[in-house]
Amino acid sequence: MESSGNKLIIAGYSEYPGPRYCVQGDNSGEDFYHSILNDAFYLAVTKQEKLTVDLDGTAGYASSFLDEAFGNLSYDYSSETVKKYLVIISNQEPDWKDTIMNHIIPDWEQRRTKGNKPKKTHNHAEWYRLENGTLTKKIWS
Amino acid sequence: MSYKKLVKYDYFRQLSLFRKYRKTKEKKKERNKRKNSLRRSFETNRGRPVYQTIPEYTIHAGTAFSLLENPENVIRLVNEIDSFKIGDNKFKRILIDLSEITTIDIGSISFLLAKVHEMNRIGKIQIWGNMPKDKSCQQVFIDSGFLDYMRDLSGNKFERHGDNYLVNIGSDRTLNEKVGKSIQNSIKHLTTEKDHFPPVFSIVQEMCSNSVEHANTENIHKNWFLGVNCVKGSENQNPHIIFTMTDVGFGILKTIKRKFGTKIKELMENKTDWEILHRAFQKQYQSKTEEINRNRGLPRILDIKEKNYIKDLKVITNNVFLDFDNLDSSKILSKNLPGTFYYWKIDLNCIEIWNQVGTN
Repeated sequence: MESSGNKLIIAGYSEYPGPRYCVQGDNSGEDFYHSILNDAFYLAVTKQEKLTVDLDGTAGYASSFLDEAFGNLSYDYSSETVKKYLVIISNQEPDWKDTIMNHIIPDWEQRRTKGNKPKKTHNHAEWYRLENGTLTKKIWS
Repeated sequence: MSYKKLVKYDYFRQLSLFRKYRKTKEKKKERNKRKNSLRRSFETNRGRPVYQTIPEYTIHAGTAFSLLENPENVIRLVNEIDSFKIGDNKFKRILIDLSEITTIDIGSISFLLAKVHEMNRIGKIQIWGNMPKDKSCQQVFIDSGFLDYMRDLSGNKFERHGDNYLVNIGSDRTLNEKVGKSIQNSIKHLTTEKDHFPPVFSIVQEMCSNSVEHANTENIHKNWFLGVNCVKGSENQNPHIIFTMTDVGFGILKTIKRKFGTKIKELMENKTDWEILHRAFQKQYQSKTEEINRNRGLPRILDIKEKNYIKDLKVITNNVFLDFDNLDSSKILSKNLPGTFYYWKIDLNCIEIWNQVGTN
């Protein structure tokens, strides 16, 4: 995974991003979130710096990959924190930037407030979640 | 040994001998049963070669074997093959007779391959077939990549012809790398260089994701084929690539969730099934999961089409034929296709439009 400073390049994770869940195929949105994005965003938040995620350079995306990756981010950190610290670069497909910032993140914020928990299809290691104003790392149910 | 012990010993010995006798008798009974059944089978099949005892069925493809022009005939054939899934568990041979075909297209070939592939995975059903007699149909058939998955009667693989191929890209999991590399290779036909074309990768992934979301244990034999057909330029047409995506499963109409109120409203407005399918692409309905963040896949496909990154998008699913370029030619079919078939094209113009996006 290519990461320079506070920048994540998804093409470094996989040139061929996959489906939504780990059970549906390799390099899924769920896997990208739990193996990379959650920790990278935690570092950015604790350093009070922005995290830039670069979507360019891959073969393309299924909307479900981006939905699961950035949706989980919104669910765990709240849409307010995500909008404050996340920067998306998508020069090849500018629409994705709009989809993530204006649709995926608000939709998952609604899920968060309703307590509609995300589905996990793999046993992930502990991950961070903002709860009562503090970031806690554990295996959330 | 005391008398008492002797009596006890004798009793157990007798018991063991009796058991042994009974076992031998049962074994003999079983042996005779098998022998008699073999004898009977030999007498009825006397003089016949053994392979002829496996029942064989013939399914005729008819003359118009084109999914885009004559979908009903192709669906009839697919459903006839499908009917062998139910019933007894005995070995069967199915002959698919393609000899009389006079029209054929990549759609019918892809769907036939997906179905044959599905049946082979079930086992106990052996499918074989013949070639179209018509020379042009024969050529389309050979060039399609269908024969890459077949063997001749001697069990040898067929020789590969042309640049076209049909790629099996998954069953219950998506094969992203295989899809991506197939698209990269195909772009070479238009630009002379291998390159990514994200809109096509994106829509294939949406189609696979949509399908895998609704896969369940009842549908374990599902499989998808991505068809890539490189068409050379001529006086009448520019060089282009035809992509097809064949998904043997439920079909889109069976996986969309319409609210009761919406159903009533659509009934009052006399909405046809093809209009309902079109509305599903316009994000008018909920996903079956009913989660707010779902249901972006079909609208994404429509968005890519409307931005002209792809051309000539057509979808056949369940009882609907939907032509996005010419909605008036969309229609309700008299037969139900068990799955979904997508057809679209790209040419150099699509790639140019796409390349302009990044530069703007």
